[in-house]
Amino acid sequence: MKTVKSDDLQSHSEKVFSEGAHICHIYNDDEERTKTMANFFMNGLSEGNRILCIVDKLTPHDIRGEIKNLGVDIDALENDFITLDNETAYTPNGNFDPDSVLTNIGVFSNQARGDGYSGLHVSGDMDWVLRSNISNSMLMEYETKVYDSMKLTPCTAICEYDARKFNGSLIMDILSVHPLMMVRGQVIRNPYFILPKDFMAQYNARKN
Amino acid sequence: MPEKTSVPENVFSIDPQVLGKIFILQTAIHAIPNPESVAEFLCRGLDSIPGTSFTAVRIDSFIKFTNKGHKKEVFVKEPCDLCYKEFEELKHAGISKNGKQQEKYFCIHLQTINKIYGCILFEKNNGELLAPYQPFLENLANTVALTLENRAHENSLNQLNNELQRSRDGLEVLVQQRTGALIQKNEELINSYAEIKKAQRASHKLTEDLQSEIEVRKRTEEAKAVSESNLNALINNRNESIWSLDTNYHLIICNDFFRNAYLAAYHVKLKVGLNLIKILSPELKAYWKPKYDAALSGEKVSFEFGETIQGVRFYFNVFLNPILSNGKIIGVSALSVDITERKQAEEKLRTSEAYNRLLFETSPIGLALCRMDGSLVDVNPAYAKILGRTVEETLKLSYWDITPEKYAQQEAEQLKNLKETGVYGPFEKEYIHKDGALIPARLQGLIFTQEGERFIWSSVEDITERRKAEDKLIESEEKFQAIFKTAPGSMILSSLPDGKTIEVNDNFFRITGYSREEALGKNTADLKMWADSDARIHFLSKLQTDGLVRNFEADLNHKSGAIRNGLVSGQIITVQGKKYLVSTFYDITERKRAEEKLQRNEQLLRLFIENTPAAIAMFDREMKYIVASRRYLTDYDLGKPEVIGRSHYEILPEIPERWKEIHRRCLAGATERAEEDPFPRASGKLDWVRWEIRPWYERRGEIGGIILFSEVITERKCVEDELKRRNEELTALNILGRRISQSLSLEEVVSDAVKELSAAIDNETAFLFLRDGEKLNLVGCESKDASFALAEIPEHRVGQCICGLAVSEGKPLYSANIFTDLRCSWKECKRAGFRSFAALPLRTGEEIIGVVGLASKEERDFESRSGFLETIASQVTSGIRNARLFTEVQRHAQELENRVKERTLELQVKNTELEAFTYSVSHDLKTPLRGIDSYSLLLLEDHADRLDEEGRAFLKNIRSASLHMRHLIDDLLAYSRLERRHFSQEKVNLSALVNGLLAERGDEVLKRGVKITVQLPSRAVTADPDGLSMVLRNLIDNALKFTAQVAKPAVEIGGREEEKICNIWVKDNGIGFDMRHYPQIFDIFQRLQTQEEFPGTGIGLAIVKKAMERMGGKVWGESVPGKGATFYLEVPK
Repeated sequence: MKTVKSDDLQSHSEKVFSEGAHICHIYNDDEERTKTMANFFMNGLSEGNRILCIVDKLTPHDIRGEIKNLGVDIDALENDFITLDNETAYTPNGNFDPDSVLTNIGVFSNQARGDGYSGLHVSGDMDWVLRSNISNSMLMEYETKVYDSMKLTPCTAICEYDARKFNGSLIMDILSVHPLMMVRGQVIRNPYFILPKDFMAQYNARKN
Repeated sequence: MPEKTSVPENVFSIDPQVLGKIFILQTAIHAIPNPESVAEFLCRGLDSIPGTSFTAVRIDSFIKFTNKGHKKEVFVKEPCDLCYKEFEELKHAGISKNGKQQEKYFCIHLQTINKIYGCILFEKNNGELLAPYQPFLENLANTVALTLENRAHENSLNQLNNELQRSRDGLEVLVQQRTGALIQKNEELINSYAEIKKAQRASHKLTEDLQSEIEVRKRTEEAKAVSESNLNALINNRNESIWSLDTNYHLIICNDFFRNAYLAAYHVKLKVGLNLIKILSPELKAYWKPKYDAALSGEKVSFEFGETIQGVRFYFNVFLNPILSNGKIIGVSALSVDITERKQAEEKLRTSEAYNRLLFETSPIGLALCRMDGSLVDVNPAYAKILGRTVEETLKLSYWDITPEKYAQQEAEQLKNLKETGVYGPFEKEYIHKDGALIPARLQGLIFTQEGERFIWSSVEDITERRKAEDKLIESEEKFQAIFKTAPGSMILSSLPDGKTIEVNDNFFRITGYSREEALGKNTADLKMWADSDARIHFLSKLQTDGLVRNFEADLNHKSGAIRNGLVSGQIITVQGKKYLVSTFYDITERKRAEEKLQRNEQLLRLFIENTPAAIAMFDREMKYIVASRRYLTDYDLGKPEVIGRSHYEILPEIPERWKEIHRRCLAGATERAEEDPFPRASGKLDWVRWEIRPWYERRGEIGGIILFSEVITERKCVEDELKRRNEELTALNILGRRISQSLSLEEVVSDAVKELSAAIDNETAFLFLRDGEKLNLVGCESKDASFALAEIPEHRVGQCICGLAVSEGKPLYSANIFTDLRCSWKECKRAGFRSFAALPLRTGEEIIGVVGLASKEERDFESRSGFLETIASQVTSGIRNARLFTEVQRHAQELENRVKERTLELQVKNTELEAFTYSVSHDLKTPLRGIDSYSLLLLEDHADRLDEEGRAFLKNIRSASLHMRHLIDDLLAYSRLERRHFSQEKVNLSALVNGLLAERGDEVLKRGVKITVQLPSRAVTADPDGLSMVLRNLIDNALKFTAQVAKPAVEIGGREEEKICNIWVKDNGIGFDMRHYPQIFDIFQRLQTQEEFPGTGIGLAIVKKAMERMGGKVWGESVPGKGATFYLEVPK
C-alpha cells in the first residue's frame, strides 16, 4: 500500500499522537486495516507504551502475526501487548455500561504508568456494536464520554469502524466526536470534529 | 510543464478545514455500502460547505437533505432539468423548478460517461464563498459517480456469477441424477443378468444333480434289487415264513415259503405293496390287525397261530417285531415258524421220552435247559451251533458266560418276569460266539420243574441273517427316502401304467400346494395339475417313446389356482420288473419373472439412455456400442442408431491415439474426466466439451466396459470467458481506481495509468498525452516492446493523426487497421509496426485535458471493449485532475503558510517594538511623575499656608492621581516585563508562599476581621517563585478588595493535587461578577467596578493570566454576583 507522507497532508497531519488522543479509524479493507493497526501498535511499542488491543473480527493471532511481519518480536513482549475480547472489555456483565468501560480503561492506563510504561495505547474493534442491542445514541454517548475520560486518564485510543457495515449517517456522527482520525495510515486532525457537548446538543436536536 | 488547470483564482479564500472534509469524503466514499448510506454520508459531510445554506443529495431514488436552512421547498437550476425530468423523486421531495430563483442554486451531477447516478444540490447564500470549492466538489462528485458505477458493475457481475453458478449447479444436479439413475439401471441390469446366469447355472446343476441322483437311484434300485434278490435267496432257503409290512400293512418283502403258504391258504398271489389286512377275512383281520398294530406301536409280539388249511390243521409260532429306522417305526417284520409237526410230535412224544429227545436233538431251534443260577444242564446241537461250539463244550458253560455284559439289565428283568409268570420272552439278545462275535438271537422260555427242582427251558433262534436282511432293507429304504426327500424340485414316484402316485417328496407340497395324502393314489390328471392337457399328452408320449424326458417346459396349476412355470423331467425305471415313473418338476416362475424384468429393464434402460438429453454411450470391453443416447449420436454426428453392436473405432477410424489410450485406462479401472476439452468439428467450428468416462462393472466385479458421458459446453464456456474477461476488467478498474486515488502526484498517476492501461490490453503499448494549448505532450508510455523508444514518437498536435483528432473531436476513435485508415496520418506508428489503435480523449466536463493512445502490433478490435477502455480513461482523467488540484492546493497552501510566517514575523517585530516602547514610555513617565509628586508634596508642606482649603484639596488630588498613575505604570511595567523576563522552573512550597503573602496583608486582615482559610497540599509545585507569588498576590489582593463591603468577609485559599498538576483556588464571598463579562476580565485595563468603589489599575488579572501562560499553567474563574468569586490556577507538579 502506498501511503501519503504526513508532510503531504499539510495542516491535516500530526506526526505524533499527543497524550489523550482519541482517534477514529474508518476502514473498508481488512488487509489494509490489519497493516495499519500493526503499524499503530508498533509505533506505540517503540515509544514505550503498553498496548491494549480489544479484538473482535481481527483476531489476536492475525494482529500478532502482522506485527511480527514488521520485525517486532511480539512473543517476547507478553506484558507489553495485551489482547482482550470485546465481551470482556465492553459487556463484562452482559450489559454495556459506558462509564464502567471507561473506568476500566482508566485503571489499565494508570496501571501501565505504574508499571513504568510511558502510557497506554488502546484499540477497540467496534464491530461488536452491530451484533449488540445498543442504540446509536448510546454509542454516541459512549464516544463523547471517551473524550471527557481522556482528560482524567490520558491514553491514546483508536476506535475502529468498518465502513461497509455502519450506516453513512452514523459514520458521520462517529467522525464528529473524534478529534483525530486515521487516513491511509496517517493520523490527521479531523476537520469534522466538534466538541462533545456541542455535538450532543446538535445530535439531540436532530433526533427531536 | 505548463498546464491549463481549473484551479480557482481565488484559492486564497479556501479554508483548508473544508478541503480536509472534502478530502475525507473522497477517501471514504468507496467504503460506504449502499446508495442510501452514501447519500446520507455525503449530505452530512457537505453540510458545512461555506457559502451554502442548504444541501440535498440524491442517489438513485434516495434523497437526503440537511435541515440547516429548514427549507421545505428548493428550486433546481437549469442543468438539473435532466435530473428533474428523469427522477420524479426530486419532485416528491419538494424540489420544484422556478426560473426566477434558479441562480440561487448550484447543482453537481454524479455522472460518469455512461450514466447520471444523481446529484448534489446546494442553495447558495454567498456565491463568492462557494465558488473556490466548486472544482473540488465536482471532483468529489466524479469520484462518487465512479464508485457507484464500479459498484453497479460488481453487482451485475455478481448476479451473473450467481446465475451462472445456479445454472451450473442445476445442470450438475441433473447430470448427477441422471448418471445416478443410469448407474442404478445399469446395476439392476447387471444384477438381473447375474440372477439369470445364476438361475441357469443352478438349473443346470440341478438337472445334472437330478440325473446323477437318478443314476444313483437307478444304481441303488439295482443294488436294492440285487440285495433284495440276495435277501430273497436267503429267506427263501428257509422253512419259516418271513415277511415284512409297512405301517399301512402293505407287504414290503416276503419269502417264497410265505408266498406259497398264502397261496395255499388264501388262494392269493402275494406281491409287494399288497395290503395284507385287506385280503383277509373279517375274522382273520380281527385276529391279525391288533397283532400288527401292537408291533407297529413298538411291541415285540409272538404268538402261536393255528389254522386249518385244506382240512389239515397247521400250527405256527409267529413273531412280530417293529422295524425301526432312525428311531422311527417304519414297519413290522414277521417270522412264522411252522410248528405243526412239532405240535403233532409233541402230542405223539408226550408220552415218549425218546421221541422228546429226538425232537430235542433235531430241533432247528436252539434249546437249552439250565438251572436257575444259569448253569447249563442240557443243550441241543442247534443251540451249540449258535454258539459255535459242540454240545459238550457248551455244557461246560453257564448261561452268563455266553451273555454279554450289556444285557445284564435286560436279563435281570426277564428273570424277574420269569420268576413271576413262569415264562419269559420272546426277546432278542446276543450270544457270545466262540470266536468272540456277538450272535443276535431270539429266545423265549419257561420254568420247568422236575423232581422238585426248577429249571429254565429256553428256545433260541439265531436271527443273524434276518437282521442283515432287515438292515439292508432299511438301508436301501433310507437311501431312497433320502434322495426322495432331499431332491430340490418336486418329485413324484408313480406306478405305471396308471400313473398313480406312490410317493411324493416334501417339495411337492411346496411347489404344487397338494399334501402327500391328497396326492397318493392319484395321477396328475386326477389332480388337474397340467395347465395344458396337450402338453401332458406330448410329455407322456415322448416319455413312452424315449423312456426319458428332460426339462420339458410346461405350466402347472398350483392348488391355489396360480400358474407355475416349470421344467418337467421324467424317467421310467423298472424295479423288480415293474415299471415306475420318477418325475420331477422345477419351478422356474421366479426365473421367468426375472427374465421378463430383465427384458423390461433393458428396454427401459435403452429408452432412458436413448432419450436422455445428455450425451451418453455405453460400450462393452471391445468398445462396441451397447447403447447410445440420441443426443450423443447428434453431438458426434453419428447420425443413425445402427452403431449399436459396432465398434467405436470402426465408426470413427480417425479417432486420435490419445482417446484410445484414455479408453484403455478406463477399461483397466480408471475414471477420467475433463472439465473443458476442445472438440473441433468437421465443419471447422470449435466446440468445447465436458466429458467423463468411467468403467461399468459386472456382478462379479469384473469390468464390463465403459460409460461415456459428455456435454457440449461451448455456450457456457463463452459466458464464463465473458465473465472472466469482465472480472478482469473490473479488477483492472479497481486496481487503477485505487492506485490513482491513492496517489496525489501527477507523475505517479501518469505512470500508474499507463502501466494499468497496458496491462488491461494484454501488455500492449499505451501512451498518455497531456494537452498544452494545441500541443499534446507525451507524458507516459508503457510498452512490452523493448525496442520501442519514446524518442520515436513525434510531437503530437490537436487535430492531427488519430490521437489529435480524438482530442479535437472530443470522442474516442478506434482503428482496427491503421494502414488502411485515413485518420492515421502519421507514419511513425506504422513504422513501429503497430496495426490497431485506439485514441481515448481525457475529458473533464467540457474540457479535454489529454488523450490516451493504445496500440497493438496485431489486429485487434479495441472498440469491442470500448465501455471498459473509456471507463479506464475516465478514471485516469479523474486521477490527473485530482493530482493537479492537489499540486495547486499544495502550492497555494505553501504560499499561505509563507505569508502567515511573514506576517507573524512582522507582528513579532512590531510587538517587540511596542513592548520596548511601552517599557520606555512607562519608565520615562515615572520621572516627570516623580517630579509632579515631589513638587506637590513640597507645595503642600512648604506653602500650605498660602493655599486655601480648595487649593490644598486640589494638591492632594494631584498627589493621589500621581500615586494612582505610579501604580499604573508599575503594573504596566510589571506586565510588560512578563513578556521578557525568564521564568524559572523551581519547586515552590505553596503553603510558605501563601503564608508570606497573607503576612504582608496581616494588618488589613486583622483590622477588617477577614476570615482566612488556607488548605493547601504539602507537596511543592513547579513554578517560577516570583511569578507565582505575583499571581497569588494579585488574587489575594482582589479577594480582600472585593470583600471590603461585606459584613463577614471570608477568603479561602485551597489546593488539590492531581496526577500531574496541582489546582489552586482563591475564593472570596465578595461582590462577585456577572459571568457575562467573564471573557473580558483577563484583558488589560478591563474593570467591572468604578475606581471610586474599588480602586485598582485593571491590570492585575491580565498580569495573572500572562504569568500563568508563561509558567505553562492556566487560570480561570467563576462567579455569581453578590456571592463571591473563585479563581482557579492549574500549576504543573
